[in-house]
Amino acid sequence: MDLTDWVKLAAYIGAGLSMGFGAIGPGVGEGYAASKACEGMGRQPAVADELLRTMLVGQAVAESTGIYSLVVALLLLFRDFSVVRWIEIPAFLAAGLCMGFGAIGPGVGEGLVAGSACESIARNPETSPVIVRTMLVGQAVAESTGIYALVVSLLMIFVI
Amino acid sequence: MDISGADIIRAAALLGAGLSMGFGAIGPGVGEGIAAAKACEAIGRNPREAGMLTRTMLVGQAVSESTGIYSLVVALLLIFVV
Repeated sequence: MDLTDWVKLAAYIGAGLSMGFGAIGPGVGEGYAASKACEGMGRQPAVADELLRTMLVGQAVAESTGIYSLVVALLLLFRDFSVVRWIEIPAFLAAGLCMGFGAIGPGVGEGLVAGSACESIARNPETSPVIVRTMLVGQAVAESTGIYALVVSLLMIFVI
Repeated sequence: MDISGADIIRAAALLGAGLSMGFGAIGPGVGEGIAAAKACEAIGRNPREAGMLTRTMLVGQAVSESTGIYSLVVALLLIFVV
């Protein structure tokens, strides 16, 4: 194996780590949001539309770190390997680790927020605007570490 | 390929940076999510306190965010300084 092969190997393992671990958080979080929306609809069928909308908005935000993982994985997979450097081997592995694990927390956390927002809207439907606003503010803060992970991964891929 | 000791150290620093930011992002993400989730629940139960609850949520999340920022700082140090 020459250097190009080793760099390719690192990039492909990094892509697998990024998307594999990165899928855990959004998957769990969005499932939790859906479960709470179903519970709320069972209790209060009259607000089913409101619950569906809140669930989808909350899940869309929780999905974002999963999409970052996909972007990092695709960047690693479809890289131009014509000019390679030795340091890219650890850098690509680290980019995959960083985005993969970094996506878990925001995915789970934002899913918890969406689930609780659905629960509250089912309990008290007239407060839904303020609940949706709080949900989005809270999710935006929880997203921040996912964005840090994306920034560090992109630094590993493009700046190193 | 010719790999010196300095190259190995640089490789270890990059892997450490990835691990730092990757695992470091888990805790704040989950914790801030729990804080926001409970704020939503409390506003649903007592909507008149929405302003105070949002403020408390943001203060708590800011504290919870701190370890995520430490992870970012350590990752950037490992990439650019070490």
